[in-house]
Amino acid sequence: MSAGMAVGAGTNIIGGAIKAAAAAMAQQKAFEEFQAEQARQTGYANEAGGQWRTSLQGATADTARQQMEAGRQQRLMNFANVAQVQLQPGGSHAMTMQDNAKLGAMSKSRARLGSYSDWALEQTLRDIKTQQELNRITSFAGGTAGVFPYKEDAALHAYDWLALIGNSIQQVGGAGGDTMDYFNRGTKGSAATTNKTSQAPGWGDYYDTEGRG
Amino acid sequence: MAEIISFIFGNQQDEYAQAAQQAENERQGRITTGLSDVNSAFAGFTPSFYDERSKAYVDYAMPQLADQSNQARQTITTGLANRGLLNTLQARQALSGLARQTASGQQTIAEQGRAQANQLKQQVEGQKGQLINQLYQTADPASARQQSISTASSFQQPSVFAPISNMFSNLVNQYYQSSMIRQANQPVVGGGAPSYYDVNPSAVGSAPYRSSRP
Repeated sequence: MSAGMAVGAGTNIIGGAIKAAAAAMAQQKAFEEFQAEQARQTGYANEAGGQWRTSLQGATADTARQQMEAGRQQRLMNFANVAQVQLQPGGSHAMTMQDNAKLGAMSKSRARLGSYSDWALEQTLRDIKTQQELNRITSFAGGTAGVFPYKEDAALHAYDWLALIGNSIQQVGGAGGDTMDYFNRGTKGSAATTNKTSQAPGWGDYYDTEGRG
Repeated sequence: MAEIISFIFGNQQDEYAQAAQQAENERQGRITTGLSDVNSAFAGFTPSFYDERSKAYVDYAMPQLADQSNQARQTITTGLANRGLLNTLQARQALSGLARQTASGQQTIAEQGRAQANQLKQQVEGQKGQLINQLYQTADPASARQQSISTASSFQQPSVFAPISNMFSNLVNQYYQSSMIRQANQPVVGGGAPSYYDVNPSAVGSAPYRSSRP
């Protein structure tokens, strides 16, 4: 093995190692970006899950009972308020005790029946608000995910400069080795090389050693 | 020189990623700002606002109910007076039914007021949700602010209420029907036309009926 070949091989190994290291580091960085993106998306998913669980707590039977009771009380109060208004001369004096009892029972029944619509309204509003929050989280998560391909691409090219250095070492080293060989052949002047250099000066050995000549 | 080195060894992809991240941060910031604006525009829709809305309907409808009740009372008392039944059990029953119907009408109006307030509440929240969803799509807080102010003010304007339906038609009809049945069952004394036309509202044109109208 000539000195030129040794230099070429050495620089090839060093340059190749640097390129391999650059590729490995880029892959590691890309993987770290992927993990970071996964963490961000998991954060969004957890936030959405939290919103959903909070919303579900408002859909339990206990909450329904509380909301219906609040609606019933509110309606009874409304009925009591409007009953204060005297629309006729004499007003409620015309009513018998039986009428009052009927009216009282009717107001309770109405209030109970109406309380279901109050509860349904509260549930609808809860759904609307939950949907709003989930849409916000989805929008943010989607926007963040849209940035990820750029980050991944950047990570994959983060060590291009190192790969470029490795490549340069390979190229410069190889060229240097060939140059050394060329000058070595020129000073020694062996028959084999002389014959070949007449055909391809300086490059014959290279092709021979590669087996492609 | 620094530019050349940066050009040779610089990572263009990293700049793209930073630009994309900055654009996304700005978009999220605009959405957050828009959300705040929409919530501010709809801040006036508090429970007391809906209570006021309910009360506004009650205040609007209650005088109409009073008119209807008084008209029904006049119709019934005139009919009773025509037959000389003002101070009888039948009169007390009829007036008691009227009072009960009036009180029931008051409850109905209170119910309708609350139902309308609830309906408005649902519309407001639905519209607000729609604006917010549009904001998520456009990330345009200026447009969201403008639309939310416009929408909120349209909801805050006084509503046009429909007149209430006649709540005493059934009562008056029942009264007439029972009167007709009673009169039809009474034996005719001394001949002549029965006093059927006195109380029958369908006999338009008969003199007694006309005179009994308020």
